[in-house]
Amino acid sequence: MSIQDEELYRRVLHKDKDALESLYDKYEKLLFSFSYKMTNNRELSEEVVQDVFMKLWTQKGTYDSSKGKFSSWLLTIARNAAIDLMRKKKETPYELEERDALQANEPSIEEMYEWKEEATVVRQAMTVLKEEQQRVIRLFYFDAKSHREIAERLELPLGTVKGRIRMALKHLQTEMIRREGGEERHE
Amino acid sequence: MSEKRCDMLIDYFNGQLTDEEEKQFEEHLETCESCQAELDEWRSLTEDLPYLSEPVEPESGMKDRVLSSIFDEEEQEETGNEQKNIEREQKKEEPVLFQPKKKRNWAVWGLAAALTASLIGNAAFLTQTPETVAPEPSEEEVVIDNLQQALTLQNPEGGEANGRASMVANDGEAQLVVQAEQLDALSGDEAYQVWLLEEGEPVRAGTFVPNEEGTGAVTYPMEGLQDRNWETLAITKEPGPDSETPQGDIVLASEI
Repeated sequence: MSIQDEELYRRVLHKDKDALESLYDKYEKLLFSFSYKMTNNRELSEEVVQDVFMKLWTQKGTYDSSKGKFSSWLLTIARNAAIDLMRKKKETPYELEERDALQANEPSIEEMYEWKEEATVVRQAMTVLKEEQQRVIRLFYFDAKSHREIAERLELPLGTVKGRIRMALKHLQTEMIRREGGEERHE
Repeated sequence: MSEKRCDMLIDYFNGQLTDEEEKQFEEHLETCESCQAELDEWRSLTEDLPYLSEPVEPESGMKDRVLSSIFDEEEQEETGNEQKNIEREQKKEEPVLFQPKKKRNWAVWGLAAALTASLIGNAAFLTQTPETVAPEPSEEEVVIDNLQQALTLQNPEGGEANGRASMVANDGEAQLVVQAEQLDALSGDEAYQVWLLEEGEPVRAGTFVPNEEGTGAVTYPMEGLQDRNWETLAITKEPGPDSETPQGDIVLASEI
């Protein structure tokens, strides 16, 4: 799977439009859904997706396999783009728009299984975590709040925030490993 | 000191540092093994978190918009200068209507426009008949450029009509851009006239005729109008395109 990604990426470097389109088709929904989870705004989410593929095409960021999975690299670019856009929008009042309420519908069975392979373990593991630890992960990773804001929201001294983040993430990882039952991690 | 830098790790990971702070932190990161280890750990521990996202269906047509904007932008870069020249030529050929006697710098008004625009409740000053203002018929381009600060225009007495007025920089030239929607249809020589008001005295600032859907737009060069204290922008329906003072009712207005 990732070998195919790397091959497509190599072709993108040679300005192969079809290869970019293939990567787009493959990752559109994951990137859009992840961006939406971060920004809670459909318009911004589209901008994030656009930024990611623009970076890919103009080679503003370069990938090599030593950086881990291609998909993880792409998701990291998306997260950074979402953070950037949220910061910019904070400076000018932003009108929240919800033109349609598609995301309010129950996800179809097919959608639920969209990235089932990757999602099952992490979702199950997440449910085991206490609400407090889930909140740490949400504030830290998805909301990308500042150190100070995380401390305020959790009513913690600044100095203990990092420790809480590490504990929550480690706990999640332990639960994931337990669920994977020693199987090979999907690469 | 070094420990203090280590405390910046969360804000670095979450893109919350200023450019300057980020540079400082990256210098620190090069030599701080514990920060490097922690950052690597966060990256690997968070790798699967995006998959927690609930599937959301993108807006229809997103693929076309994204890919075409990426490929288009590149083509524009390739043909860059050539393209710009063509655009400039085209602008010169836009329809000509009126030329302002007075023009105005946009910077001053830009500040005012950046404040929240509020609706004027009463536009009685327009019933005065100022004698001091006698603009000459002139020309004006009907080109819309990159929008900056905007005023929201509404009818003081309510209604469907609405619009926006913005100042844009166009090749370094300040322009007033007015757009309006859901305007009543015109008949005969009637036209919509934009006015800028200073102490109740109106100055012409663009004339336009909306399309069949009641949508209209006009731009007006503001060069040389920087020393004025504009208080209000108003649009009136005029019996003809060359009223020197407002004759008709205000259809849209905003305080500046």
